[in-house]
Amino acid sequence: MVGTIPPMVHGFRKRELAWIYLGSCIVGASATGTLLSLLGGMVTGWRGLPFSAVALASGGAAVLCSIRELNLLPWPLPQFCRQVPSRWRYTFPPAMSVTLYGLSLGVGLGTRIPFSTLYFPLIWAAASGRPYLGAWCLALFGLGRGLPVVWYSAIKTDTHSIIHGISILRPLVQLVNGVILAIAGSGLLSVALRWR
Amino acid sequence: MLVFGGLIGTVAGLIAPSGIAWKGGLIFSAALAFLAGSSALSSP
Repeated sequence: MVGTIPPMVHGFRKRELAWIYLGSCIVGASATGTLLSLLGGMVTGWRGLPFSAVALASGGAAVLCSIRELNLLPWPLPQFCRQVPSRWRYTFPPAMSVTLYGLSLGVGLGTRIPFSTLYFPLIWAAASGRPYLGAWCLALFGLGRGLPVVWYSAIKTDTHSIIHGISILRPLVQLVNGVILAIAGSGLLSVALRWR
Repeated sequence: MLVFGGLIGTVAGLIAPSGIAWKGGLIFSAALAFLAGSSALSSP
């Protein structure tokens, strides 16, 4: 992704493409949240799961994911290992390809999941059983996915420097994800055990 | 790092008031969704 999206937006020097990408990411992510919470709602009769069950499931998942992100036990994630096709950059007009990239990356589940942190809000969206909560929760995934690209599109450096800068941050990003997942997981597990 | 994060989370979970259950969980999961999204750009 780091090699496709920033050149797509930054290379054209058009900030409106970055905003289109951001909007598409939010729409795609909200669609995922809505769909998951609809499924969860149908299963639970539109009431959602009891809080202690959600806390136990998401807390346990977060601890497992933190173990993975901190490289203690690199277990494989259930995911599709596809990437967005780079040929879209050449076969579609810029606005169309940016929209397609935004929608497909915003959905989040059809392509490779780089950090297991995404599973946490997916569990909450499904467990809530309320489509507006699922859409709101996952919309922030789309916002997070698109906002850095908007920011990079405004930077006045060359594209290769941006790509290099993003790539060297990956170990730090992984560490931050691992620690935050450990905090979330242990917090939710202790809450679930306290309130059961 | 896992132990450090686990300790912070456990203490936070033990002192968390019961009234924030669903609301707090959803706000926290939305924050993690933002983290997941913004982290994804660094992937190859």
